[in-house]
Amino acid sequence: MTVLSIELAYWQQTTLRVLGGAVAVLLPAGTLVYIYLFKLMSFVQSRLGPMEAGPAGSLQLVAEVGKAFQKEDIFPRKADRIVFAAAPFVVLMSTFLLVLVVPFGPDAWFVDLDTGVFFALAVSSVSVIGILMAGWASANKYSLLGGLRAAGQLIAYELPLVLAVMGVVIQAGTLNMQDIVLAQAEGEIFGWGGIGNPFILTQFLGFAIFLVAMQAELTQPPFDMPVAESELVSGYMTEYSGIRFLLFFIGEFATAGVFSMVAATLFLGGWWVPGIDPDSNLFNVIGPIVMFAKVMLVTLLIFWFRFTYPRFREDQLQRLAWKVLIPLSLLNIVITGVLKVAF
Amino acid sequence: MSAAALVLAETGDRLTRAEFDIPENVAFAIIAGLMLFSAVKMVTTSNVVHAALYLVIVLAGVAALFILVGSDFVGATQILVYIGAIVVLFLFGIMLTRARLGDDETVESERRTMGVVVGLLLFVVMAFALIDGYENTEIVFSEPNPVAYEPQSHQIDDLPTPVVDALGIVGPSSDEVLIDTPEFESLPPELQRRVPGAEVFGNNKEIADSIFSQYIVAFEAVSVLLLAALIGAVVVARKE
Repeated sequence: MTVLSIELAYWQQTTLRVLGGAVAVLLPAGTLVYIYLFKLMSFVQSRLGPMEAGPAGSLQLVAEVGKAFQKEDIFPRKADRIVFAAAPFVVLMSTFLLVLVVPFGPDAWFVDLDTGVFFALAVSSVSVIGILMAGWASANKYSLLGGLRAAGQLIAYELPLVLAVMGVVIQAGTLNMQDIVLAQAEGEIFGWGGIGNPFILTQFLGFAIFLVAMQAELTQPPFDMPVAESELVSGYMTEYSGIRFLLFFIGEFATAGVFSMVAATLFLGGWWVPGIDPDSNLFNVIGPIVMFAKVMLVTLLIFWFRFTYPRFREDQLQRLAWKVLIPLSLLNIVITGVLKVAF
Repeated sequence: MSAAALVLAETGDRLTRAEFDIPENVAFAIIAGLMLFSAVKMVTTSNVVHAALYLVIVLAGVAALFILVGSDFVGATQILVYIGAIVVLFLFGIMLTRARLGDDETVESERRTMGVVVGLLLFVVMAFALIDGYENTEIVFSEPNPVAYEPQSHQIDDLPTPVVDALGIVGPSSDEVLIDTPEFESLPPELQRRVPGAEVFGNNKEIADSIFSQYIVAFEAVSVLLLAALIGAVVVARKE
């Protein structure tokens, strides 16, 4: 890899990639928490939200992180210490693996896997293990119930998530995330290539299903039965405090950011904007910014739903997944396949 | 896993330093060591949940090895099917029934000798099969996928800009140019696959081709079998 005409050694590339990965995961997470969770949520609920720390409460996040660092790292006496301590890291690991396959520009990627989307969907399922570990090791009924609920929910919504992506893969003819972006940039709508062919236009059903399934995978309200505070205290997070609770908290919002990157890549054209040649070197610089803007757009939808709808009941949740989303996404695959062959 | 180890064992003394892929082999050693440790712990621990979690490490190691030798499709499938579905189901079952914390004395350990015998037998059979099948095969790490291309004319408009630059094509954008085989081969691999008409033969393509032509009957049979199992599970569950 060459950056600014300097040939980098293997360890230098690796260091750069690790740093880049950390930024790509943590920067959207922090922004989401401040702009949406603190400010937009307050606006929706007709209040001001945090106002004291910094101008308009902009340093509230620093204060919160500092508070979590100072707190005691409590282990319940009967807990399985090693599993209890490792669980938040397993959840966070799945997020960091997920960001690996997201491209940020024509040459700005972490790994260029031929199985990009498939790999992303596969590693996103690893977080279930971390949640089950946390629920079991806490030695607490509510935690265990929360963990089991979370696992049931994540398994149920993995299917529509995978099936919704199938439409995009059929249309692009590739699993590689970079090639999916290029397929959208070089695509044409009835012979007109002015804005390429972002798959949200032809795969709108897929996008809608992906968004709903994503909301459930992230256990954001209205799909937050696993942490339903009125029934289960905080579900699998009940016994966690201090730094380990912070890790779960970061994991929740970082995963929201990274999943939105995957959605933006698949449906909104990723790092590409109309009007500029997709091979231009300019995209290595503005690509990450474009991606960030699109991520904020997708997460706005997620958080809008979060603030607007009340929580589902457990049976309603399962019914929605198995009786509505999965048949719809199968229908989407059939239609896409037929149209792909016909045109 | 064993295949790579065998290649090292068989050909290790013949490789020169330049040919010996050091990072890949170091990575292999670390992953394999972790897998062996977890595999042994998995059968010796007396806590069922710990056993399932050690199994996760073993399966993740298998996936990592697949990715290391360039079969990322199989690696991702390994993660999705085994870690994301099967082990989660194991954990689900264990936690719903007997999720005891701490050591569980009732976990059977009398049949350990039998297990050791079966394990050794399996090891001998698989080692023989692998040595017999891959005797002199060397694993090539991270080789770019081959690209097939028939020489043909393109409108300059249709070619991606870097391809035009790399080949030094000049002229009005509506002109036709012929890209012949030597010109095509002079392009770096990441540009080759972007020339219209070029076909990349990756692992994915080969797997898809063989599943949907050579092994189509087996593939369909397995699909029907899985569907039958699914319907069977629903029937059994709703029997009351």
